Amino acid sequence: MNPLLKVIQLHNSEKQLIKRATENSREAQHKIFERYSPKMLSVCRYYVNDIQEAEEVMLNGFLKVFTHIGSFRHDGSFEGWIRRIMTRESISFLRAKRKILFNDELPEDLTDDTIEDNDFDLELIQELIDLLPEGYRMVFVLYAIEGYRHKEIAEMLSISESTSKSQLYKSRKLLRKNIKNLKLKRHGTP
Amino acid sequence: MAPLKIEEQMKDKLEARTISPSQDAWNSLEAKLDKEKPKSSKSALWWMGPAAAAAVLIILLINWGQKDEAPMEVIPLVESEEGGQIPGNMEATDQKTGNDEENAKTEIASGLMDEKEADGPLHKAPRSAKEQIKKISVPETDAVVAREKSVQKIPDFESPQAGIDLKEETIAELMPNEEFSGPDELDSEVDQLLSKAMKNIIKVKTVRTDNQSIQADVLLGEVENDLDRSFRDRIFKALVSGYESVKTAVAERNN
Repeated sequence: MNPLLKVIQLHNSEKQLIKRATENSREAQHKIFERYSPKMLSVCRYYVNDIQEAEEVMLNGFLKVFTHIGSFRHDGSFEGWIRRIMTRESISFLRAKRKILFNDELPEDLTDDTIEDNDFDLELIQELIDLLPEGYRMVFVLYAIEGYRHKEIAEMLSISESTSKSQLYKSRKLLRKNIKNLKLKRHGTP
Repeated sequence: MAPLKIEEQMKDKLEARTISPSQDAWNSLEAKLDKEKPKSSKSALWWMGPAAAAAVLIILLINWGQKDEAPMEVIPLVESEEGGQIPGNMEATDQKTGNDEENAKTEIASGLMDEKEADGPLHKAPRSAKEQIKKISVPETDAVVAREKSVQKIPDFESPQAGIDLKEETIAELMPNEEFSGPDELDSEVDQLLSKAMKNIIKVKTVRTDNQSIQADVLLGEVENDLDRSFRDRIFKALVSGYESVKTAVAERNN
């Protein structure tokens, strides 16, 4: 079958699925959950250290997806829409869990140290992210992994753009430091 | 800041990752969805309750307002000693000074007017104008009842039509030979008569002819009103004159 036709079929089937989910069809909702939950759990795991808490956040996110699915306007991808809900839900969870402090001061030295181009496995990457404090982690993940701009990050986290930039800089510095420490720990060399 | 290579690598690998949820993840989500469903229906009903209550309240208020407007009752004409008529030219009577109040009383139903004040020509109000005359309710006093034989007390009208009928009857009794003039010019005359009548009522209230005593509170209120007005005028005059004198003084000093 023509791949383009396959894509069109998939899109039409998704549209019908969304429509049925809007009508509170449990079967349609289950299908959507099965299709997107693995990816969304991974997204929640970027922000939340604990896998069980991440799953709880994901379920709350899907609850919002199904209660507000009627507001989805089909002007972007459905997956992207769900992902944004998961991101906001994760941030809300972290903010509710503990008070997150953002340092407003801009660093004087903005030069970046280079890191050797190494192949990092997923486990190491997640470990590196988990080592970051929540404030740094949120800004780093939103910017470097999710691709949000500083203006958008500032709005989401209710901080200034300069704070977002400084948090990113500090997170990168800390990340480099942690990479060195982890390499030392694993291989005995930095 | 430009993305670092390491960050791009992290991004690519994380994007490709999936984590399967636990076995009972869907069950717990389903339970949450079931809980959410009756809430939404409850919330739909929830706003209907206050909306219905608000609608009932609005209807009651409208009915209440209509009831308040209903008693536009007619003041029965009071027979004066001279068998007077309703003053025809209200503007002319306004221009009069001391005699205005004396000429206006035949319209007052309670008959609290002084007998001597029933002077002046009176015109009968046409039937349409009668309906516009508001009832002035006046509390009965022993002195008023005893004093005025020809005065008709204001009955407690249950409907505006009853008041209108009574007024027509009273007019017919008191002024059998009079003819009604046009409704338009008499409407304003009637309004003016009513205002004058109110003043007379207040005036009469303050004076009891049997004891020649004055109700202090009412008199005080009148005096205070007059004083306020004159006091204000004096203050303004004083301010103006003061400003003038200060201006002159400053000018002279500078010179």
